[in-house]
This record gives sequence, structure tokens and C-alpha cells, in this order.
Amino acid sequence: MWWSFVARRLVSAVPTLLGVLTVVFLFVRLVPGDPAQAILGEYATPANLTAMRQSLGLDKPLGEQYLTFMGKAVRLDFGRSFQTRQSVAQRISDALPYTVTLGLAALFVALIVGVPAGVIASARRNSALDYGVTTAALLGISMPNFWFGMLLIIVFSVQLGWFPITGAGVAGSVWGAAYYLTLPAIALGAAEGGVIMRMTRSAMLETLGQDFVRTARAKGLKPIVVVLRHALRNSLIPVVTIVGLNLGRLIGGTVIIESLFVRPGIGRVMVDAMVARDYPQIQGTVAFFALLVVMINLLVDVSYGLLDPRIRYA
Amino acid sequence: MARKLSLLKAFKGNRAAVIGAGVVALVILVAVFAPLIAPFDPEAINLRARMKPPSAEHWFGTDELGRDIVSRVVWGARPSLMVGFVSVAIATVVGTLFGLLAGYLGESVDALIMRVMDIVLSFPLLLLALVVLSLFGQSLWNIMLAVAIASVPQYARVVRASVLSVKRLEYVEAVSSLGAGHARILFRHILTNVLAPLIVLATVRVAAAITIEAALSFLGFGDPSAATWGNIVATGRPYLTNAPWIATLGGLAISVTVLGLNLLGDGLRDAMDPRLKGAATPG
Repeated sequence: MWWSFVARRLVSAVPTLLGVLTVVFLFVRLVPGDPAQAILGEYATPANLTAMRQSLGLDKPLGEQYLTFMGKAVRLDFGRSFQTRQSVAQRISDALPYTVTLGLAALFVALIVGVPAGVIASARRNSALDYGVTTAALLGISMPNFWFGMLLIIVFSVQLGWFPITGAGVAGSVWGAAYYLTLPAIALGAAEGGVIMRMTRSAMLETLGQDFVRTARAKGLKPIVVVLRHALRNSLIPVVTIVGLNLGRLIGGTVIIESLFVRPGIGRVMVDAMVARDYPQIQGTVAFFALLVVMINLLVDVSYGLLDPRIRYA
Repeated sequence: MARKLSLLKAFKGNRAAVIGAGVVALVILVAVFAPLIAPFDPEAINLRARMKPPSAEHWFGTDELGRDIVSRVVWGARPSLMVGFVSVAIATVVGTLFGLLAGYLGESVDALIMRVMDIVLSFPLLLLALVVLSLFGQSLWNIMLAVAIASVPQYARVVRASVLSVKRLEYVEAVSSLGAGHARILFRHILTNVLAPLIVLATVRVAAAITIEAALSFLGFGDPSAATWGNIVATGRPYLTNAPWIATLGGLAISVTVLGLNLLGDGLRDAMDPRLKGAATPG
């Protein structure tokens, strides 16, 4: 049952993936005027323009361009970066570890703050503590992440000197990486933590009102056991859903945070490529981010069945 | 009428929502009366008063060209709010149309529209906006268009879901058997019933649009000629160590506005449709 659902869900992702690649293909073709001119500037010689059109494949008929692009793209071959002459995929895979660690660290911060805060707020509903935590969550959601990051830098790097202002540390050193990762992870994870807190709180409130919780309480179980073992376990599904749905935004956020803290991740590659009008790199990076989002959505969908045995896939 | 009154009552009973509405109203007033509120000309360059820390004259100091930060932030409310409202207006109209068509016509039209929406949703909003700006140039109008395009699927989804839930109801069947045409049924009888979730979504999306514009400006892809809040924060970035006040007030303005819109959105949602509790998130 579950496997056939996974198989069907996998198949249904294929047209979305092809659609994503088609949109990426169209990006460069949608540039008003001549993309070669846009890349080389107004003083380019005709010979250079012809060469650039050739290297972009723009001199061939559109149908052929499309098939060539798609044929390579499904193998994650997006050509070479104009800036570095490296392959587009190579630049992405070099930068990937920095972005993945940042994303995971931010998610970690969001979860270890958001879930306990939501549980506490729901267990002490309408208390001063509840209002305080709820307000803090809303603040986390409302502050722009780059501005929050700036405030963190001003306070913890400039004033207190506890953390470095920018950079990613040297490879191989766990403590060094953590030292550089702390502020970016908090800046990126704050909004997510707020969302997770709110979701945990409302899911908990719903679960706490149900019969089995009353039964558990009537049995004389300690309140903390009821809250953690009975209620929390049954409240996690909406939390997982919201984390999955928001991962796309988290990934988008890495672009900003990497730029603010000058970390050499994929977001940084993307911004550099955009400034340089490095179209192959832009195409490859955008396609990579979109494919990642499609994969994550797929994982979230198929993981429901594992988390909640009540869900049946017809 | 009775429904409207009870709505108002439910809304008034929600303290957070009333605070949110108050904050939003205040920000709009600041934008409208900017010329009266701002103590200085926001563009007046005074090189002798460069990067002055907060003082009695300049409450939040001056920037790298000696311009008064308070005045710039007060005037910045105009372009920032415009980005929020215009992009939401575009996305609401287009997204609602797609959602109505998909939900009402169903079958292959539904499948096609929603597939396209899935594809657009696969691109992180910020990236999609970045690409649009890099292709078509950095202007406030292109920013609004980019944010609108990236937001359309959210509206289409919400409207489609609502249409699906009401189109089989008896009253639709009744007006249809009375001879009402498709357009009349769609816009007169179905659309009025999807307004509640639509208004809630639009409110939180204004907040999202303001934040995204700020993020784009921060990354250097904003409209350099428009002094939005995001732009003001971005100009303060190189001076974080020696003049941190430049970036402070602009970010505070964004945070307060977004907070107000979120509170308002939450309150509207609770008042209009308790079933949606906890569903709305910005960004």
C-alpha cells in the first residue's frame, strides 16, 4: 500500500521536474533583446557576440536548443560558468556543504527552541508565560532575517566580541565551524522557530482536549508524562508538515544569510552569478534549488505514513 | 447584517487583532502624512553631519551622506507599502482567477493549472524574484511583478480549495437550475464564499511582500532610486561596526509593520474562519 503510494508520488513528480527545467530553459530566452549583448555589454564586437551566441547555443533552432538543454539538464549538466570556467555543477557541489550545514543548523535551532516553547505555552495556556512565548514567536516571524542577523552581529560580534563577524571557518574543525555557524544559524532559524512554536502550541491545545488525554489524566499519571508522552507524540504531525512546507523558504533564506555573513555557500554563488550575468551558473543554481524543493516535498508527503499509522494510502 | 455584526464583535474581542489593526493604520497614516511628520528633507545631503550618532536633533542619527534617518524611514513607508499592496493586488486578481477556473471547471483545466502552480511553487520565492530582476532589470515595478508572480500559486490553491468545497452545495445547484450562467455563478455566488480565506491570505502576503522587497534591496537587487525601508537598511550594512544606528530604524519599521499585519491576519482568520487556525505563515 505505502510502497505503491510512494511509487505513484514519485511518478507524479516527474512532470513537475521537467516543468521546472523548462522554466529554467526559458529564463535566458526571455531576456529582452539579445542575451549575448546583455552579457558582453554595448561595446562588444560582432565576432564576440557571435561566439557568445554559439556558446549559449542560441544560434540553433529553438526546438533543438530545448532538446539539447533538457538532455543535458536531466544529467545535471548545465555547462560551464562564464566567471570561473568551472563546470556549473562543480561550483554547486563545492558550495553545497556550507549551505547544507547552515540549513540543518538553522532547523536545529528552530526545533530545539520552537517545540519546547510550544509545549510549555500550551501546558500553561493563557498564563503570562504563554503570552510571553507567543509574542516572542511572532517577533521572530516578523523580523526580516537579514536585519535580525545584523542586530546579532552588532551585539555579539561588535560589542561583545563573542563571535566572528563574517566567514565560515577552516574546513575540518568542528568547533571552528560551530563558532562561525552560531549567529547565521540563529538568524536563519528564528522565523522558523516562531512558526514551529505556534504550530506546536495549537496542535498541543487540540490534542490536550481529547478523550485519551483525559483518560490518561484520570488514571493518575503525572501531568508531565501526559503532556510529553501522550499529547506531544500525537501533535507532531502538523509540526512536521509545516517544517516540510517551509523548507523552501529556509533554502531561499540561506541566500540572504550567506550574503550577510559572507559564507561561501550556494546562495553566495547565486548572487555572484547574478551580479556577473553568468547565465549558465544562474540556470544551474536555480534549477538545483527547485529540484531540492521538489525532492523535499516528496519526502514530506511519503513520511506521513511512517509517522502516523492511521494514514492509509488508497 | 447580523453576520457582519458578529464578525465585528469577534474581531473586537481579539485584543491582538485590534492592536494589529491599530499598528497597520498608524503605518498607513505615517505614509500619507510623511511630509508633515518628517523633521527633515529625506534626500537633503549634509556632508558636515555625516554618520552622526543619535542626538536631540537627529533621533536616530544620520547616514553616510548626512541624511536624517528618521525622515528617510518616515518617507520610506510610501514605497515599502506600495510594494506590499500593489504586488498583493496583482497576485490576488490573477491567482483568484486561476483558482476559480481550476476549481470550477475541474478535470484537465484543473490538472493543467495546478501543475503549473506546482512548478512555480518549486522555486523559492526569493530566487524567482532574483531571476526576474536579473532578466528584466531592477525597478520597483519589476520587484512588484516578481513578488506577484511568485505569490500567485498561493492564491490559486486557497481559492481552488474553497471553490471545491462550495460548488457541490445546494445553493449553487439552485441558482444554476434557475438559469444563472457560469460567469454569474462564479463571481456572484462562489467568489463571495471564498472571500474570507482570501482576505486573510492577502493580509499576511502584504507582510511577505514588504519583507521580500527588503531582502532584495539588501542583496543589492532593489530599485536604487526608491528609498524603501529595505534600501535604508542595506545602506547601513557597510557601517555596522562604526555607525550601527543607520540600519536599525529601517529594520524596526519593517518588523513593526509586518508584526501588525500578522496580528491583523491572525485576528481576521479567527474571526472569519476558526477552522483555519494556525495555517497562515508569512514568507
